[in-house]
Amino acid sequence: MPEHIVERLKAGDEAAYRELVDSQQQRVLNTALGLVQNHELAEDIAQEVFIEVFRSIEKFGGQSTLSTWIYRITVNKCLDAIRYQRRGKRFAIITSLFRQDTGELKYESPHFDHPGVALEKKENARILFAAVEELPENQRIAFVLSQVEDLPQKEIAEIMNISVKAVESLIQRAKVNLRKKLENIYINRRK
Amino acid sequence: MKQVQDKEQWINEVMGSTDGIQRPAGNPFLYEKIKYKMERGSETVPVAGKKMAWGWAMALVALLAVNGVAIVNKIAHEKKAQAAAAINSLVPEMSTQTIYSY
Repeated sequence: MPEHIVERLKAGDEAAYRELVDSQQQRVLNTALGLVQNHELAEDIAQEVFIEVFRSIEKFGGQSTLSTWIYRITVNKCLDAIRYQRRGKRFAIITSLFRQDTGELKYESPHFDHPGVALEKKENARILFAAVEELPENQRIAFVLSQVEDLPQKEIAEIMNISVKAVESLIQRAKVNLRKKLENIYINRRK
Repeated sequence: MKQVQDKEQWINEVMGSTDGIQRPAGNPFLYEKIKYKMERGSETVPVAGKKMAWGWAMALVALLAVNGVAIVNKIAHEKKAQAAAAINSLVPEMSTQTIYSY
């Protein structure tokens, strides 16, 4: 992170805005991709995150690092988008009864391919991301921040505003749940 | 036994598929896009929010319409009942009386 960037952002320095976007956009995009599993939506979220950062930088008191604060905003924006998508899916079922063209969701993507996964692991990663999508929200966040964004548990705890122990437990439960889901997929494939 | 081993191996491979994952490449025009959005100024309310607001507004209009129809129906029904009561009250006066005591 460039030095004194917070002061420069607060002073409205446009070069600082650009530096922040350039230095943080991959983290924001990767986190959003892991959570919402859609490229188009993840980029929209990244834009919204930086707009929020620029608009509320005055409120940033430095209790956490700027990077942690940005992660927190990213996670919240992703959760909003995930909840909106879920509502949309439910609503689409109802509206499709009346109009045939309303069943389609703008950001629906059943087969998500993360661009950062090695080619030989793509198929397995696709299965894993589909299983991650079914995890409870908190487990999903902790798992993605840990496995996809490779953040230490201490930083995940700060982002999620919980204890390190709680993060450890969330990741553990996420892994147990994922293994159960994968076991079912394996059995169904064998049938 | 081999089946269990195969299953465990497959699960481990899937679970490890994100090991060494790379962050996606950044968009060199992201800042310009953000700047454009901020200058337009109308993007603070996400599309989801606008749609929700419209949804709630439509639901409120529908609720008011249903209430309005119910009230109008009730008033019409009461007016009808009043008119019927008024006619009924006149029936004894208007009816021809038969005197049986000749």
